[in-house]
Amino acid sequence: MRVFRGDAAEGPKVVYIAGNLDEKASFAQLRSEIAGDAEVVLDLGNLERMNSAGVRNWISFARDIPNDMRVVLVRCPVFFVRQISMVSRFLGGTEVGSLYLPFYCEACDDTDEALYDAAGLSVPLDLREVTCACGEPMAFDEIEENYLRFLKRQSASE
Amino acid sequence: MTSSQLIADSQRAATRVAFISPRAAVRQSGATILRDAGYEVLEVADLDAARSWIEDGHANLLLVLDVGSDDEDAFSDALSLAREVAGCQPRSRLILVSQAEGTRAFELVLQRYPTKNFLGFKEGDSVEERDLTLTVAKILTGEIFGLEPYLGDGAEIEARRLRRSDDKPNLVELVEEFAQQAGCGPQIVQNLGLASDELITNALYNAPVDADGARRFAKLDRSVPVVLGDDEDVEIKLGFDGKRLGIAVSDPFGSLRTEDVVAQIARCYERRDEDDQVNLGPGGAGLGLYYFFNVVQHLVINVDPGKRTEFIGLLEATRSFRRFSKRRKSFNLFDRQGPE
Repeated sequence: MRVFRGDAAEGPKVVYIAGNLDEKASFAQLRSEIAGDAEVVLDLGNLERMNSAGVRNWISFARDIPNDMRVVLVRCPVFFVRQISMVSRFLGGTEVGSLYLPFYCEACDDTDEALYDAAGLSVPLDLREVTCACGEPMAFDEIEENYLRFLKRQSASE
Repeated sequence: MTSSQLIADSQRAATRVAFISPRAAVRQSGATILRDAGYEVLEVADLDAARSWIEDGHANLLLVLDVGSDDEDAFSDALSLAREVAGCQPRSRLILVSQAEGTRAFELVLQRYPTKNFLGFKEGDSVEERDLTLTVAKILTGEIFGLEPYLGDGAEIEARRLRRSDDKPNLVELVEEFAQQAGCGPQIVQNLGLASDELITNALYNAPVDADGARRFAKLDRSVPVVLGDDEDVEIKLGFDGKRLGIAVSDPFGSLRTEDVVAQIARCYERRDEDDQVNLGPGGAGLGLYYFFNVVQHLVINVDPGKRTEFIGLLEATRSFRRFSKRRKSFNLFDRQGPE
């Protein structure tokens, strides 16, 4: 796992996490990057893979986030969002700011992903039409109740 | 061994198979599949009639019991019968079939009855022929190992071996490439990569035991590399028959405690909203089997105690993850020494 600090001059600090969240992922650098900040944005858009050892490391990290710190996760990849619905306390002291939704085109059998703000989502989904490169509309390619299960938990904790 | 050889061997056991379902279409189609495979089949429409058969001591009977789909009362009645069967005929062998969507029925069954054989199938369809006949054949013959019988004739098979945890990333990549070439969508490819990662980790860290049966590496942090002995290779097999994709990971230890398997998966579902779902203490997270079951459509576990454990995952090669998720889940646990 690689951790990079963004260079935003204004707004909350942005920290980028890339690579694999697995048994070798160390959170020491990430913990020191965000220590002392009141609000941090973690950009997960370049995460590539995650396994159960990584989930465990992530939960330990997320659970230790102080109550007075706001950690917003943005560009959450599809595999990361699935963990949220499968594993309890996965989010810990973090919240989802934006996430990728998967789409599928019945006409040409192609797949795609599109980025959405979590705040604008609810179940049942009411999305603007996503069009495939072939020109046909694409359908949301997951079970809404499963994939977006975290929305209920997130709104309950707000 | 092919599926047809296995079925032929199982017919020599001359065991009658009872297909119990109040739903005529399900019962008749299931019975037809089994008759076509050469078994003597009793069709039982009524749960009370099934009770009489069992109480009359038809011990040499293999039961296929339909637990329905969305009718909670029918579901409960069928599971009551399953418990009665287990109570009065401990050696009886039971296969549950259900049409409920996704993992829901399996989760409910797990909460009420520790099933070893659960076959899901789509509303309006019959039970999947290969899975039903293979389950019956494996129970009757005790020939439980192998990915090949679950795939069609002429399936492409690739096999690899490993002993070092440092080799795991390469094998995970190989699995993902195989799935991609089979036509799976990116989400399914990624899921299969995760599944293979979890199974290989399990085979390297949880399975190895010493001469006294003590686990050698289970409490090790998974970032600490391990190397198995010369005769302790973990085997990974990948297969694709043009429609169905399979992955099998086997170890030469046979140390999996079958009595814990169903409980472990059930626990992960039950504790999904609780703090203690994930083990944050020494060793693994306790999620590997749960993950594997979630990312395949059919999970098969074969165990020969002290000799071999094999995990098989099967799924339809599709690009749509939603279509994949809607498929009914199936589960088999075959223990060579225990009653099925």
